[in-house]
Amino acid sequence: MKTDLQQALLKYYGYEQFRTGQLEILESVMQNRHTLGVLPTGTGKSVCYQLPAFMRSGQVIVVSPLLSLMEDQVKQLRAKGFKRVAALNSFLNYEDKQQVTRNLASYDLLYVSPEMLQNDYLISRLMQLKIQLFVVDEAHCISQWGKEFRTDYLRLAEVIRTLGSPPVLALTGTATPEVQTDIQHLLGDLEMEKHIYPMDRPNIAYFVQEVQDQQEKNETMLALLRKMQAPTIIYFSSRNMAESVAALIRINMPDMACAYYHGGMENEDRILIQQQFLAGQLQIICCTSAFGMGVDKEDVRLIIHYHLPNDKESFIQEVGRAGRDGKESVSVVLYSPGDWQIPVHLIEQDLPEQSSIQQLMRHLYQRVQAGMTDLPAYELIVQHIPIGETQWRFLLYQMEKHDIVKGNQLQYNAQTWKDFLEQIENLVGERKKHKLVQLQRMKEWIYTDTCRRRILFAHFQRTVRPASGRCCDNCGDTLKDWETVPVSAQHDAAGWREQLRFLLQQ
Amino acid sequence: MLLASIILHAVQPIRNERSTASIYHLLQGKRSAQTLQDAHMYGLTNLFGIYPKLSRDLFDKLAADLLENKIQVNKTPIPYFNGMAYQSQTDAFLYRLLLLLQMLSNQAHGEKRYIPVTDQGQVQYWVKQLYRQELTQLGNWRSSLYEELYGLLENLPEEQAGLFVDRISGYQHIGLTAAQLAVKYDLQEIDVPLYQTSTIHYFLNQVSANKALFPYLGTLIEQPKQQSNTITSTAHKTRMMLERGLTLDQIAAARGLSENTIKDHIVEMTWLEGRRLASRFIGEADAAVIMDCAEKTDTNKLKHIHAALNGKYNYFQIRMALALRNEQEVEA
Ligand SMILES: Nc1ncnc2c1ncn2[C@@H]1O[C@H](COP(=O)(O)OP(=O)(O)OP(=O)(O)O)[C@@H](O)[C@H]1O
Ligand SMILES: [Mg+2]
Ligand SMILES: [Zn+2]
Repeated sequence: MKTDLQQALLKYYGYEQFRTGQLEILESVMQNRHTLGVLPTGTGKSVCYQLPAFMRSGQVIVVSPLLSLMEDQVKQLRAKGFKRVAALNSFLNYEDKQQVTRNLASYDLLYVSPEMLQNDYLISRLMQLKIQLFVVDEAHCISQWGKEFRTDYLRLAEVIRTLGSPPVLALTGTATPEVQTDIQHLLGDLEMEKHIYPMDRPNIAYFVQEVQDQQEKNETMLALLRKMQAPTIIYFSSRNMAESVAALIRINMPDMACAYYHGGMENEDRILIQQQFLAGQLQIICCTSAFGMGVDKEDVRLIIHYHLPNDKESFIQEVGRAGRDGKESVSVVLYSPGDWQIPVHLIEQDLPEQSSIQQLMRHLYQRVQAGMTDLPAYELIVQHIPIGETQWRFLLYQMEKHDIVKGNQLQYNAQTWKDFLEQIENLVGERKKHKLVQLQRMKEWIYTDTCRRRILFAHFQRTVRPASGRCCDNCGDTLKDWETVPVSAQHDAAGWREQLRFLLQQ
Repeated sequence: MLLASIILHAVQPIRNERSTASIYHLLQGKRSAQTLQDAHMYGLTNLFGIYPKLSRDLFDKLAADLLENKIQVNKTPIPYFNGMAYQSQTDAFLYRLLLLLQMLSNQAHGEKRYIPVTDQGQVQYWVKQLYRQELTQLGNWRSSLYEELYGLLENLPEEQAGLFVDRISGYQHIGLTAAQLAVKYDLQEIDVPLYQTSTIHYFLNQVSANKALFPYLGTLIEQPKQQSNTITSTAHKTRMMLERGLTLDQIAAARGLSENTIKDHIVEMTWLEGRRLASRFIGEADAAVIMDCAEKTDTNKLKHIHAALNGKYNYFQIRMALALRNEQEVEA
């Protein structure tokens, strides 16, 4: 089997060798075992389910939370000549969705967003297929102890059963043993063959720098950018700050093209910015966590955290954008003592307050009394109750679990509603506590005086590999002798005449 | 600031008679009798529908500030607009042009991997169709579009021409967002779409006035009955009946034609338009098998393919697959 797989890798991708873990995961998948694969970010998880789709008959279904990544992968596969691939997600207009849904059998590889799997019609169509493999990408999203809990992911076990329990492959780049167990459990207590690989990246060096205030932070950041002169991603916890610091960088360093990116931008613009960065037209991106997952640019050299992430998983994922080409890269966290308030605040925002839960239940109760048992849409709810969309989705899932909502209908029963209100408070409390613990671990990492590499991965794996270059500030490394290799930024100082000529090759 | 100047301009004739909200409706292009009447009565037809995406909140705030003299703005000259004539065509023309330029630029370098600048299915479909029909002429398209555009842009203010060209995505060069253009040209971000609309209105005006001078850009203007131009009108009738859900024999009976003639229509449309209709008659998997066979046996002869596949597919299915093959080649 090994040689078959190796030949296929060469044939479809032109790669001579498997990277660590790929072959092991593939062998397990090809023997139709349920498989859990943990491979570091950017090392090639996609190959583990694309190859089976190329090599065998039957459909591979991939559940992925990253819409833009999904689209990107489909386009790249098509461009490579693999046409029997499609994506079903909320980006598609109605007509295209119909077109794909009607012709499911004509695709070998189908990317689906978890939201789409809530659609009964789609499920009924999927049931008619011969599904050879059901993939859960970014599987940490299923665990509520994972960094990006998605309620839609929680229903996957049911979907898998409905589809006749095909072999399952769960993939992720960051999962503590706790999260791994949770994934297995929430996918329906599957017996899974585990392939867990260390997620530390020897080519990334870690630095933390304390500053007193925002001005000092900005100055430190600018100095760093000047020194490194390389493709850089800077992470912020607020959209406004990402925008204003991008402006600051533009003014101070006009020769380093810089733009901002966040979830509040139009989809069309987001794609443009991401593409500009990939094409080397932009050197620096100031962004929120909306940017990153799935961005596959090989020469990102520097990741700056202007604000602290809420937990180590996010941090590892975000830093994982750097050095995908294997060359030495750098992570720098800038923090000032006051910074800790922001994440605490964000955690509170993410979870519904008991008072809004009560308000919500009262509102729903009134609807039921008035004979309106249809579940109202979020847009309607939010007109009456101050509740965020993530909060609403969280509650919705809990209500389904408690049989308060069934198939988009509200079901009233005094006792269940009462129980629900009591239990939900505990659940929210527990979750908040958990997030604060995560934050605390992040904090300990900032203040540690031992090797950062060791502490960072302590909760994920037993040992870490030694750094291939610089290790971290606590090990005595600095960036003083960093050799700048300026990337020639393509600057379009040219006027429109020249540019039009270039575009149309005249 | 352009938007402010436009509001001030529009307010003058309307001032005492109508609310400022009527200006919002005018700019936004609300199709109500009242708004249309306002446009005509106050001589503002050129501004009709020039800013469909204008946010109400933003407009209200700006209008209030202006009218209470809370802010002073430098009067910006208002560029060419002809909203009443072009607002319904602006978007289609703009996105066709942007996607076409992106396709041509990449195609010139043999680059197939790029993310289309628009998700709009209809626009993508239109460009795909053009690609299919003009496959051998793409070099001409590039040079002619270049000349036509160059000539038009030369007549615009430098800045406005730059704003247009900087937005275009092509080979290894991605267009700028409105926010980026605003920085580069030292404008307010809300003014950027206005300049772009003005440019398109100017293009549309020139192109439709001098059809002979702009044969290539002319094709981008949405024809009211675009479909019947590309397929014969009798095939078009067949299509409409198919879309209403009639079966082959029902259509043949209703039109008094033979079933084979109807099949001819379907093959013709599939060849021109791709998979849209075809899926009803042949699955992608089957089509792939037939195409594969055609390739391997290096023939397009129906009889040979029929025989090579042991008679598993009828002639109609084979013709459909071959028509589809034409589409496959441009899918990437
Ligand atoms: N065996 C291989 N040899 C060389 N390159 C490879 C190999 N496998 C994958 N790659 C390349 O590595 C890059 C990253 O792959 P991929 O996007 O699948 O990573 P990932 O593990 O899914 O990352 P992420 O955690 O960001 O989702 C891709 O450009 C891919 O083509
Ligand atoms: Mg991935
Ligand atoms: Zn160290």
